[in-house]
Amino acid sequence: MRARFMVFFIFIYTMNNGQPVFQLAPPTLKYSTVFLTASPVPVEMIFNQPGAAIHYTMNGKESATTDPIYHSPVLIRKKTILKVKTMGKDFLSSETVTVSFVPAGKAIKKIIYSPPHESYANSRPDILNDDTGGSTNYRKNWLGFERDTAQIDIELGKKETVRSVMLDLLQDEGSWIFLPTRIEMSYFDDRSNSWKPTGNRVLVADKPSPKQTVQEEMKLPMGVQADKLRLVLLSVKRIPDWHAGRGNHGWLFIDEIKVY
Amino acid sequence: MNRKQFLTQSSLAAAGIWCAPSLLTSLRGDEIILGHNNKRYRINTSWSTLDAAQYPVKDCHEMVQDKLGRILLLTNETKNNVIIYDKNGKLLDSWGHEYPGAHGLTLFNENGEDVLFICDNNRHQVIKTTITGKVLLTLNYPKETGEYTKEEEYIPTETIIAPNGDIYVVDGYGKDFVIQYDLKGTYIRHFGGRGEGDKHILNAHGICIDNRDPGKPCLIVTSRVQNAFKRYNFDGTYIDTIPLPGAWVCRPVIKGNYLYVAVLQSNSRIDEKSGFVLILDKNYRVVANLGGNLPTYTGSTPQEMYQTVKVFQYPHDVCIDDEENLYIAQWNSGHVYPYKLSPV
Repeated sequence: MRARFMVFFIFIYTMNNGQPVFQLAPPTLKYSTVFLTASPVPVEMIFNQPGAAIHYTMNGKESATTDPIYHSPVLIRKKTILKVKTMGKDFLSSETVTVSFVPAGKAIKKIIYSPPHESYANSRPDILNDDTGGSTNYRKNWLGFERDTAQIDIELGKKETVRSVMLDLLQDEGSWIFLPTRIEMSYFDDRSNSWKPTGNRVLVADKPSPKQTVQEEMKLPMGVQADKLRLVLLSVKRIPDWHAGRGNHGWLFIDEIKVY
Repeated sequence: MNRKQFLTQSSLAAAGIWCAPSLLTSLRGDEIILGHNNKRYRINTSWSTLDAAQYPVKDCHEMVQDKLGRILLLTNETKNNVIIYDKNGKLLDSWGHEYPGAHGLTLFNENGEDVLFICDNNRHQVIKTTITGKVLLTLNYPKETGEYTKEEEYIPTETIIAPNGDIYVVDGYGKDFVIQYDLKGTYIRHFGGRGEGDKHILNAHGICIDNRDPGKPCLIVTSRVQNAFKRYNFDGTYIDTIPLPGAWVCRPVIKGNYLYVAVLQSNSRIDEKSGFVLILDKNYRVVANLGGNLPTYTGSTPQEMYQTVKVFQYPHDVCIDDEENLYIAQWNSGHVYPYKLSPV
């Protein structure tokens, strides 16, 4: 009974003079990078719709009508989760656009990675450590893999105390781009002349997710002294049944690695 | 199906704040009115009265109005490739089971009789029929051009018929050539195609004849991935480009002094059901954006356009009837029937 009432309520709520109540589109955000170096990063938010406004928060909470209205570019200087929405009378609010800005971390000398898909074969060698990225447009600055396993070796150039490694990944299931199913991390131990595992993470794609960038941070509980780190990413070999591309091989997209 | 087939296809210039007389305003209480300036419409999303179980649609690709005032819809649903409505959305007739890739629908009045030209992506053919579906002419892949070695390379998306009967076909999902034939289907020439330089095209999705200036009639061809129209003389010589930043324009349709075009999606939100509908004046300036922002102009080029309200998902064509109502057909939008928009 309650379910029927809810369906009726939703129907009434979404009809208006016999017309559906339309949802606002999300704003477009323009920023050069999400990886913060010395200079602040200006974020421009674009949405020109009379009767509607862009509301945003910088503390990770969902934005509401009481939150600031965007008027001019916002400067991001420190680690920030920016959440942005368009809202207006007579419309349903847009979905939230979330962007996480993070520090650029330790200097990386070089990153060597498994061959990406041929479309990305001519990518710049430093594409995973160029301090640019964080866009949800898979055509911008991403490295795409269609293989089962992608191995990424990180060379810091000198011994450092490493506490965590962050991977910037793309989740865009509409474009068949999924998060890895598993991430394994290890560091090179000079004394034993071998790679030592430091942890792994399993990610499950059991239901649809919004298009977003995902920053997966792999923490090393004690921190280790290392100058070489290795990540092994296992991709979705078989797209799950809930997806239109079911049974096909999924894609894996990564655009930046950060070491802290 | 692979990912490339599954996918269809950002950057965004800052939009100045410019408040048009109405973008989406309320006239009756909180009713939504779409459009700007003198092109504003009330939308009816349930115009079609059809039972989806009996008269299903897949992609609703294109629509035209015939001389009897009927509204014809072309879908790639082979249970009824052509659905014929009256202006109130009531079914009058349907036909067609042999067009699995039905995409382009053009109506031409040939010596007083309406005939149709259907572009079929899957069959790699253009088929001319009577208004009741009898086949009159079939154009196969244009090997006479020397550009094609097999029919699969040719995926025609649209046609337009010149007053002298010449047929222009755009190969919008193939090699992006415009191929010109005489009225009997004899090859004359081809132009456009992919390449560097302004005269070339990327995704020649639509074509129309612009005869609003009687002294300078021309062809307008879509270059959808470039977010632009390109103008050519009837002999294929390039005239100029009409940039429409941000807008994945489909087929240009001219009615009266205006050019109407469904925009499949916003370039800033690709693959996100971010379409809208544009109306341009005689000078190719955008005067209304239905479901999106009205751009400001810096010189002759508009600033980037984008969807602002999710009225449409992937609009694919606009038909304008004899009473200036619009009908919007949509691709890949949940098998939705066309919407009707009435001027206010």
